[in-house]
Amino acid sequence: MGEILEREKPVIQVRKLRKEYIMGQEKVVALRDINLTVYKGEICCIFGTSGSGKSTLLNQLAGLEKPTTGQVRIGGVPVSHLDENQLAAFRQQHVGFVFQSYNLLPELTALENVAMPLMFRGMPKDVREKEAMKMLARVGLKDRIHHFPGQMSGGQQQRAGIARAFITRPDIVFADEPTGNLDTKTTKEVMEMIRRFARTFHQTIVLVSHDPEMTEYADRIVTLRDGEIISDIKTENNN
Amino acid sequence: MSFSDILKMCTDNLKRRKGRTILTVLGVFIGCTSIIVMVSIGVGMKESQDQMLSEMGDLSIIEVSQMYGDDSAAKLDDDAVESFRQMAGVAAVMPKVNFNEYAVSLKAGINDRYYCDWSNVVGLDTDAMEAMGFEIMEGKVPGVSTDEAVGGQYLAYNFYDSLMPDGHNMVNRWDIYDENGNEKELPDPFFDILKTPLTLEINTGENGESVFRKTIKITGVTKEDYGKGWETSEGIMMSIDAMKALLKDIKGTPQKNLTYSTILVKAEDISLVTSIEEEISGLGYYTYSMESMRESMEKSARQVQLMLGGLGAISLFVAAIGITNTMVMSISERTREIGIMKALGCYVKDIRLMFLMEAGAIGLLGGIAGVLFSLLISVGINLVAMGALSMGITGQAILDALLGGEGITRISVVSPGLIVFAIVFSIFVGVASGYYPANKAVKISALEAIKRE
Repeated sequence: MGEILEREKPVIQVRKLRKEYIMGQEKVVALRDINLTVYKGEICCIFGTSGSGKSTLLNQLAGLEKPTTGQVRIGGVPVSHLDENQLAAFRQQHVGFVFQSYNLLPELTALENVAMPLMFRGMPKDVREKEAMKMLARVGLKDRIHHFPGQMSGGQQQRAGIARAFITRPDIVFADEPTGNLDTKTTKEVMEMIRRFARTFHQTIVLVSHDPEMTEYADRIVTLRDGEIISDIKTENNN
Repeated sequence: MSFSDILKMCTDNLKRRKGRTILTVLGVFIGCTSIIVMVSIGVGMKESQDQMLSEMGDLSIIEVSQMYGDDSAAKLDDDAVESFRQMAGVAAVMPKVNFNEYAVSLKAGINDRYYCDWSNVVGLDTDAMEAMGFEIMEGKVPGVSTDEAVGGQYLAYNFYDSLMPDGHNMVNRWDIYDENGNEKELPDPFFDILKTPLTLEINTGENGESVFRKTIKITGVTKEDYGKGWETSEGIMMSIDAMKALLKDIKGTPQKNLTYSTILVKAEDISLVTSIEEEISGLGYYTYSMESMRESMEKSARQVQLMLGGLGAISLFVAAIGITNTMVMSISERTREIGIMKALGCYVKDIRLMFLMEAGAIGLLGGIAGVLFSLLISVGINLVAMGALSMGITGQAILDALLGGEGITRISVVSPGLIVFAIVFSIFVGVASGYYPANKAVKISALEAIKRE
């Protein structure tokens, strides 16, 4: 019963979000007045082809970019109107990222990479590395903690990326084509891992992909085309 | 982020690009070295000037004389002496009468065997000698007797021996080095001046026919000090009363209101000299002091210092551009990294601090290396100047070259203050050069993390 109520609590609220770019002389409309609500604990897949505006939408949701008009609220906070400092603090507390190209810093070990979000919070080295060690064990990289990204496979790097995204216990994790560079088998591993974490801690996942297979792991699929939502379907994957 | 984390990221980044870091540090190192060496040469110039001046005389003495060519100008009489004495910061006042109305030659020994063709005779306030800082090397200050006087340090060396042929008829007091260039004991003069009465031969007539003779006893010898007058070297100093008596004997009339040729005023401290000098010249007198000379010399030395330092500063400026360049390059290489850090919630101020510290560290490293190397150069220059290369480089010689000491003339002087300044300035140059790149880094968008190549 509580589960159901939680699921009805909106986490992300998007109102009349519009994003325009100026490309040379031309004005390109990437998002046309999007309205969207994502609920707590949902794994929401934003699906679309290249150029559909799905990446732009993710950038807006995560506060990486300012909208032309409209508003994004996360847990009631208008992220589209925060300044740099407030955004940094907000990301530290509420947001995690999983990137397509993993984005681990090449000069840092897996352990240091995973501990990085905690370092930004000012947590002492021994405390945060203990925490990172636990996360790495959870994603099955216990014997890789002192490896550099260059010494790990794509799948291992993405697992380290997931450990880094979840180490702060964020409310929302944004995943940008998280399996775009991985083979089918690893894709399955990585996605199950994300889903397991999300379910354990009632976290919301916003996933951007053009891969129809992703729909398997999502609770909800929002399809974009030419900057507009053309469909918004709840799936039956309620496990 | 904690400070130690930021520091670690800085050092990691500097280490990661070792070659580039070293080259950039090299730029700062050269700039810093040239500033220190240049300034140290300027300071060395000043040091040797000061040394020269203090050897020449007492810096706290002001010589007051009457304005030249103006009879109505303020007179140097007893009232003037008294008014100077009342001034704040004045330690002692000594009036002085030159005896340059007449030519004086000296005779000494049996049958006037020893003679001196010319001598500088002055009358001065012998009671004030001690307070003025006249150093009596031997003997004592003359008493009330008008037949007593003190002589200058080298007075006895001015005498010729009339019984000896040319070339052997005087003791050369400049002959103080042996054939190896080492200092040797000064030879004794022909006679002991304290035990031999001197006869003043004063030429009172037009053509040298009329000669007045007076015999005096030298009771003491003063140490040479040009700040107190040339007579401390080779002249004869008698009391004002003795001088008055002498003039009376020559002229036949008593000398009442004597006008002094000069009045020496000694300040309690060198720092007071300028203000006392201003006060006196305000009364309409002409003043002169070693201090005012020192000040003008110091001023020109400072100008040279600024010029030399400026030359060094140019190379440090070039180094600063090097730092900026390195940082801009490093930041454009790390654009994505910075984007990732921002996306993961790194504060803008931490990113800025990280890059400023990186630039500051380059400055610090260059500064430290520059200080060490310029100390080496400075010691090298000084060793050469001291002639230690031919005499052998001992530990003591190196220490002298570094720290200086009594009678050691250093060309290059690196003071602790200069070292601290150089390091602080290098850090400052680093941080200042990092300012623009750091702001560039701060402006990098978190979106860079998402971009796909």
